[in-house]
Amino acid sequence: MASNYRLNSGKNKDALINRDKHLNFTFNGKALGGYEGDTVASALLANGMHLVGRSFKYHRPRGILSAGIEEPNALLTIGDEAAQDPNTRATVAELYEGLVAKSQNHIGPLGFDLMAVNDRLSSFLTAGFYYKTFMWPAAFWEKVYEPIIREAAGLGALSGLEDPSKYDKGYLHCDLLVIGGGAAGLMAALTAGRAGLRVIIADEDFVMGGRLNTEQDKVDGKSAAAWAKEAAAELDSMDNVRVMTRTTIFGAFDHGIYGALERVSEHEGEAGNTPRQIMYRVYSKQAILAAGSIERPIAFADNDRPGIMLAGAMRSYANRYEVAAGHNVTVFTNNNDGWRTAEDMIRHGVDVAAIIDTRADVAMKAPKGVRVISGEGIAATSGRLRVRSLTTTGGETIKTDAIAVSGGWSPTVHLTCHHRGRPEWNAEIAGFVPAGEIPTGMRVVGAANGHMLLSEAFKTGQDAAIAAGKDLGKSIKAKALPKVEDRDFAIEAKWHIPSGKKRAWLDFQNDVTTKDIKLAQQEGFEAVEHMKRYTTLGMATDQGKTANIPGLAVMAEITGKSIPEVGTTIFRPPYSPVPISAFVGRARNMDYRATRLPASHEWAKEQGAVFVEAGAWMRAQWFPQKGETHWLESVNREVIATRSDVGICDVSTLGKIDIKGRDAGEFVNRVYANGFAKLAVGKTRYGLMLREDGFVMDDGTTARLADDHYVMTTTTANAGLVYRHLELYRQGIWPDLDVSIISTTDQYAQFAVAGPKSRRLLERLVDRFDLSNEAFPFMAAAELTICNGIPARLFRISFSGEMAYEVAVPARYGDALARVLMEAGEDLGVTPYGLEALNVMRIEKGHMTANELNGQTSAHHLGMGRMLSKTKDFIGSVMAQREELTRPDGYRLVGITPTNPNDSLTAGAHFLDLGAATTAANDQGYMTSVAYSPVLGTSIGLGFVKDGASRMGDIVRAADFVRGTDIEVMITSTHFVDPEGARLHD
Amino acid sequence: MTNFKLHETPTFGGIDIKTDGGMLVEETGLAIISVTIRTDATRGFKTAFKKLFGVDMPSAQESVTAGKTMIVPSAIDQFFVIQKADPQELEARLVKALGKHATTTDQTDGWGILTLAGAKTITTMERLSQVDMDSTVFPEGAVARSVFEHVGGIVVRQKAKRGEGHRFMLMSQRSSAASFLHGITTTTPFAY
Repeated sequence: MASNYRLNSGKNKDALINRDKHLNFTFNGKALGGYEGDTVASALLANGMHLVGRSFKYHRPRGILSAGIEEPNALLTIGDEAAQDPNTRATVAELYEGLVAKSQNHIGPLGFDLMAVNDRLSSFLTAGFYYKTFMWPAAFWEKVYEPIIREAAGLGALSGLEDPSKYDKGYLHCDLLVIGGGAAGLMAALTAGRAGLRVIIADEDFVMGGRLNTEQDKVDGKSAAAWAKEAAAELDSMDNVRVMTRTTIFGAFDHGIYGALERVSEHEGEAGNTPRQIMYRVYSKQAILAAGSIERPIAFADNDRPGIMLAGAMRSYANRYEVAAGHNVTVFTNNNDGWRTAEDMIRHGVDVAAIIDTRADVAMKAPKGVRVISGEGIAATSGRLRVRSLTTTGGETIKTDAIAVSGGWSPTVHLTCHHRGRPEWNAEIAGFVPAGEIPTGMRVVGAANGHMLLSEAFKTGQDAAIAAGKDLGKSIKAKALPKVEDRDFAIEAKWHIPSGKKRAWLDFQNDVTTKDIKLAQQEGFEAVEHMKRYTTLGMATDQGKTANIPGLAVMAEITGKSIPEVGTTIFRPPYSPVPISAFVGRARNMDYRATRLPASHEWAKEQGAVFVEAGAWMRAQWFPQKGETHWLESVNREVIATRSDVGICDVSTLGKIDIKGRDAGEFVNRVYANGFAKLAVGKTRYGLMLREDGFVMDDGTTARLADDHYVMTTTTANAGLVYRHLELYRQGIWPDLDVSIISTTDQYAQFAVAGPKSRRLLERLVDRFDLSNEAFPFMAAAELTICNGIPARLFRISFSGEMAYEVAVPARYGDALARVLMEAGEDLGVTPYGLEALNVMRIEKGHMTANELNGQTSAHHLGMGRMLSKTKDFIGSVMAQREELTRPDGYRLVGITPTNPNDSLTAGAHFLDLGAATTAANDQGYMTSVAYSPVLGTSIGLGFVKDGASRMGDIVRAADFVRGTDIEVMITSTHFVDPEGARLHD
Repeated sequence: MTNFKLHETPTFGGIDIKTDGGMLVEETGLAIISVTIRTDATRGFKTAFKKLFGVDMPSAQESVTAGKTMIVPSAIDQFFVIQKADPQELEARLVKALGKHATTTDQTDGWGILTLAGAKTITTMERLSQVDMDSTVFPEGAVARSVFEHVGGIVVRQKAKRGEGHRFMLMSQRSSAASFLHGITTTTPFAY
């Protein structure tokens, strides 16, 4: 592969790239190459692509700053068309064959971004300019300013196409969750795993090891990377340990629950059927946070040029990926750790122009031939698209093509803040360490807790695992720790170098400079939370992982306060961005939620039924026939056919509850408002159920099949609610009653067979059972057999107002029963009818559904006040007598017809007296249900009208403010068809 | 006498699929009778239960097998008695033996039963359910009534056959069985 920046030609056995596996990819259309084990960032650097993006506001040329999740600059769009994924950090994106990467946020070529004019206008675009500049005229904000700003703002863009990838979700359990697979995390997992605890160890990287993979340390006499590899292999071999690479623990939630995002096949490009990502909810008893630390830069003039990167990142690219960030690098540091970069570069044969240390007295030994400039900083840099030189504060100009910057390391405390833990300042490491309310059961180890030495990482990891084991009742003995040679970590905080008229960048992703912090202070936004919002420091995808601490340190310096006095912002989930798709998982399109299907669903599909969601149920709405062009044609036909011949309708969705026990009758009598004590075996009764507050809860029929056996039906919508209601009273209020209840909604497929020929149809199915009026009258109920011995339940009840039955069979026969009913009734003109026709017929008959039982209606409102028993106690009996619920002039359910038969009624319309002003004060009630009655040839409705019972024949207005209609209607009886009920008893 | 006959439709359509590391089969022909202990009848019920099945009444989180009968707790003081039998006949036998201490209800058609087995099926379970399926905490015979991909159901760990690794009995209510099945077959090892 032609590259000037790939090192060693594969001689470094600890490198984690596979030189035998060459991978092709493109960046902005240019064909490039890399190796298995590369990230996109390492491959770009290897190809000499140091300019990778443009900054958010000023469109400054930007290069790669880091080698991890904290990356603020190298945000690329990975993938193409529908599969494109914007704002992907090149520093963690694994390279794969055929990867397509594009830079973002520029107009024209990356090297010549037309939007870079913003940089020329930077004096006008400082922090807070939005709030000051776009104040007037006020109308311009929404119409002019905001659209322009929104068009110009943002980084990557979504494709606007449906994401073709699959996503999933899952649940994991463990005794101990170890977050982070570096030295401390591996040691903790090994300790707990060897002791037999159920362990999950998760790391966002695709290789376990953390910085063991990027430093030249020795562990037990072998390279740190080799030790990490062996440790990971040992963990992998344990049945009680789950090793999860490519997995980010992004949030700490209640009760030891953590959110985890596993990138399953993202690194494979075309994943086919495999999920791209899986989101897990991890249930842990104990957790160890071993998230390490994040290096931060020092702000100096024009410190954002491509080629300027974090010192630790430069070592990562060299040691792990065998890539040199430059040919002639300079190290700029305020701590001993930064010096390691110079050592490693020299070891790899890269020239080091100088080590510039802000500390005046440094007792460090530089590699042979490397200049050391102490007590100085960087005053300026040059190079438009890549750094070419720097000028020290001493005035010396040094040619260099890469600058490694180390301002110290900040413990990765993010997850410790998710329960409002507020970190505290540790002056020794010049960083915030976890404190306050960290999540229950969490222990923090290694660099994440400010233990910056390798030996400390191993020790704290082991100690935490032992302590976790103790909390879990498992005694774990400490073992000899790996032998390491610690590197001194000493720091003298230096946050920025005065930049004069130039700008020194603190937050690369949001283009926040030290001047912006000063401006915030001048404007009075000194408090750290105010500063964040005024300057946008620490916002966007990286959430200030490299910027927060330097930013607040600069504020401390400006205000003359200490850093602890200024304080720090805290973090909330997610730790790093989580795609919405991952939260959604498989719940897309028809998988969005579960559905319930009645037993005849397949048969209904075969008939071409149009379905409607009724709660979770999919119900046939109507059954179109050939030649019908409008749903109303189908519905009218179904209604007429049922009223003239016979219709069948699957009513399995109605709630069915079997109530048994010696006290079943007493139980039913207490839960219904009307009397059930005298209901005979073999009879059915309509029941009205109230809530405790006296309002109507539900209605339905209940049949008594035996002395101690009742079958209650509920409305479809309230089936679950009623069951819970009954269970509450059975278990909690009346535990002395011998009653058991169980849902049989799914056990039985139930069909309404309605119409004047319904008896003739059923007679063809029942086994030796007398269906005559005398033997099986209206409201009769029986258990019998049909179709040669199939057990069934038969109820002579009617929702349509016709002579009708409901026949129930074990659900496995439901599909067959639908077919048999159609076959047996062919010569009778049997017609299947759907929910819509059912609704028309019940309105014609004045029956209520959920529209009328809306939680705000009383029995009196429904015209059923007389049903409330005066001879027994029942749920809601006292509260139902409240004055407002029983007042004679209160709402009453009435029928409504338009005075002009051609007018259509609309549900939701409000009633107003003729001539009355259209005000809420004059409101007389509202329409609840409407339908076109093919029997009457006009629109009909049900509704509540004040004092409705005494207003029969009155003409009022029905005003629908949503649909803009206002028509005259007449108040009528609710019984539009067969008001005497003669058909029911035929 | 009617000339019409009704054929049965299995809850899961009689699904029977086998893949590398997974097996999913609908168990048909099983009667499921719910048995609920009457108020203040627990002591008598336990005795009658032991007499009938020869085993102690299980706790709420464990199933027991007595010969070819499986008893799975389904709620407080409630059990499903599952057996390859005619539902009416089984219920009649249970009423005779336990009726003094319990009520019974046929639930045969309210539920569908699947057997999920194979080394990879533990992955399926952890995608569907928040119940901890590890054999150390959910051993053979353990029962949980929970939500599986938003659908209520019951899971019982059963003794795995040679080479299976894991074996579960899954019960789903009939009306939501299609969604329940879809949830399973869109995960490892049936989908990828």
